[in-house]
Amino acid sequence: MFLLPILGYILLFFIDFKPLYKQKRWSDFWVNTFIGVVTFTMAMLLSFGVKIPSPEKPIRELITMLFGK
Amino acid sequence: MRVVKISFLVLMILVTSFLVTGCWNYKEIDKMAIVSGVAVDKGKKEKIRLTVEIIQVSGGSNSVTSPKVITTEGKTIFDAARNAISIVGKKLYWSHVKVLIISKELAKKDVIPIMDWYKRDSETRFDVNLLISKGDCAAEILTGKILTDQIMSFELSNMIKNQKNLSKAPQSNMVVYCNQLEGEGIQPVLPTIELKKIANSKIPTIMGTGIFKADKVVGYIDGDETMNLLFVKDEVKGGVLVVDVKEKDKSTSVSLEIFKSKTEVKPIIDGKNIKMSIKIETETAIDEVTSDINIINQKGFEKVENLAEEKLKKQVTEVIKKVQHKYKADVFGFGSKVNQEDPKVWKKIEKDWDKKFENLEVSVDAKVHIRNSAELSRTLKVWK
Amino acid sequence: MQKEQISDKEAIFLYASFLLGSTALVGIGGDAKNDAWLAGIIGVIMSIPMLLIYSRLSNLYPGRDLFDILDEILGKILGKIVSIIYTLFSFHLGALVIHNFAQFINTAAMPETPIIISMFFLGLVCIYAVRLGIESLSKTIGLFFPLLLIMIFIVQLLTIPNLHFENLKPFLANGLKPVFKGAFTAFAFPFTETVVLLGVFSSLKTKKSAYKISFFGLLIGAIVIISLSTRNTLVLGGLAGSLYFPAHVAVSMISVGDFIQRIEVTVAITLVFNVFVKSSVCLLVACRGIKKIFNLVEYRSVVIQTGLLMIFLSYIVYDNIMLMTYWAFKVYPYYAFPMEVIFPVIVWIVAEIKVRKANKLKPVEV
Repeated sequence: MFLLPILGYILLFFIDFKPLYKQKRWSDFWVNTFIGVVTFTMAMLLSFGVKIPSPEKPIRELITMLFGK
Repeated sequence: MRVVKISFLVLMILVTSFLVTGCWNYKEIDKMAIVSGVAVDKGKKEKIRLTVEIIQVSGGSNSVTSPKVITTEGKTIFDAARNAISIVGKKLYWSHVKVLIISKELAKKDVIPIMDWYKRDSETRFDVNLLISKGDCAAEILTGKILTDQIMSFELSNMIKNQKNLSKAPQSNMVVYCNQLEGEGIQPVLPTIELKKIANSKIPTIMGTGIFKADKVVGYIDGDETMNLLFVKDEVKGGVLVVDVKEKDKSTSVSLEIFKSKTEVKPIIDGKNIKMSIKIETETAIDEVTSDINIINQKGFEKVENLAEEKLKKQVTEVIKKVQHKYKADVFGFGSKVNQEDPKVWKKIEKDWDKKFENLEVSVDAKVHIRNSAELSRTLKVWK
Repeated sequence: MQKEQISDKEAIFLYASFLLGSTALVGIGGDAKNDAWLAGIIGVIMSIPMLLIYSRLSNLYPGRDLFDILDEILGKILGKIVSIIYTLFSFHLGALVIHNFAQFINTAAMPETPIIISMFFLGLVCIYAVRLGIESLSKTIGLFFPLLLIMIFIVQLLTIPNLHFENLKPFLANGLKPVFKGAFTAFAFPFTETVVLLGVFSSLKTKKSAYKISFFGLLIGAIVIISLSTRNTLVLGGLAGSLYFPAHVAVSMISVGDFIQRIEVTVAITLVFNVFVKSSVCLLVACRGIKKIFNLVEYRSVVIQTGLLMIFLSYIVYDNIMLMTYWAFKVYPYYAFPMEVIFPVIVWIVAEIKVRKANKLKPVEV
């Protein structure tokens, strides 16, 4: 199952990262790469069945604390 | 770059041709067991015995549909439904269920275990017709003799639909029933079904009403009483009113066909005293006169109208009295009318509404209007 | 690169479609029960001042998007911080909408399909649309939204036999408090979520049109939303509150002459399109925010990765459906309040002061 995201990201490398690199848009390239690394890690974790904690919990708890119920 | 582009294109075409062709877990219609009707009984070994009528469709140019009835048992409805796989070999498909029949025995205890799964599951639908079997076994109905249709459940569903020309059984489905069950100040009713023996074969008939108190059936009323109940609930869409007319020591029966009926139920709240006033307005036409007394004139119409009004008033009052004192269940929804009219008063009396309902004063007023006398302008004349 | 432009008509449809989003499915006014219609109307009235403020902002700075305005008014550093907040908000909103949609598909239509599949495919379409840009997106809306409106209208007509007007009674049984609570929910979700749309209003053709678009967009959106949720109450009565997706069941009750029935799929079509619009706009605005924050050349560079991140976030955001509805009605209004009300008001006040000052320095030119 983990092969699927790897395949997908190899594909993405050609259609997403390479053009940016070629056009020498460095800030675009680095920001995109950073987000890309994050999504890639998430994709891998998901494909291995790791449960990623949801960001809704802290927000929900904060709001329940502030406003009650 | 060109190679990459072309290989990407080929990959895309391959991927789409595999993914977008349809659902990956599709089912052919002849591989499904389509459920058309369900009957729920108390099980012999387990808690629940589920009987389903399934339709087998065999394909081809002249496709044949043949119903089969199978029975399974389980701890819950869902359990029993899934246990059917070990008999039929296919997963049952529930979206086309027309009727759900509940046995008398289960209805006496409580119906929530039956309703919940049906309400919750995503395959089942809310527009299913609910019925209570008056006989001992609900499953028998599905195996009864079919007269006009091929499939029993479809015939039952037609029977219920055409009740609007008869008004001797209430109309109900999941939404109506659940709203009556959950609603404040109203108790549910469901139509009843039983097998009648006619010429050596058992034919199901839908007539009468099962009266609920909360989630338990507390009693039954027959078809004629049901019509009066429906008058109060403003659910009469058609049907026949028979009036006996006496003139010069000759008596005749006049059948009035109901075309339109409207009932207004209004609570009269006066401090702590609550009275209900019911106003029935019915539009009818004379469709049958069983003797040669001429009543097809202004005077005759008025006389029949008055007699019909009197009769309707008497019958409706009787049914209300009966339900009030015998079953003590507010199936008319008087409580909800009070709630709709004045929620503040309702909040105060909500708790002891049961007691209040028993002694509630109800005044009934009926108005019957005769529109015409169908296609004949006079009665048959007999030459002496 | 030439500037992308939206015509007023398309923008109105975009606005209405954005409002409908997932609201048309979940319904409004949770607490208000059978007074949901009143809650909806109060919610609309409450949101009008905010919409005027948004329109005024876009009017004062024509041709600039939300993040440009923030930068201009709040200064470099503060502007950047608020920009980050808005980017995250828009991003999170998009994920929630995708989750809503997938949850519906998973509950009502395809319980056996893994939920990530429906999220992924919707997400892919959104990524594609956003990469094409706001102009193609709004052209699509201009084409499809009128059809959707006609469809919704026809379905509404078909439900007429199933309407039970006594379900509206008792009126205000529990007093005004639950109605105002419901109105507040409707105020936050969906009516003032339109603050996100400031991020795309930079592409409007004329200067004056922001007011017009807000007005007509709100009019169409509000009428549809309120009539849909009133219909749900009228058809289902008390049951409407206990269903996750009341619209779906309400439409399933339609049966006209035995042959027009089982048309629930219309609900799904409406939903798919509106959800697509809403999440696309959210993704677009999030990408524009990222572009502004990091001073990128073009927002298109980050669309694919941001979109993927959105899909994954929508996958992990709620554990189950109960949490989803709890969030929509209980948590979300408070969570979104700063972004929808507090920041815009502050920005607006500062903007007005700045404009006055600038006008004093320069003689008024008309």
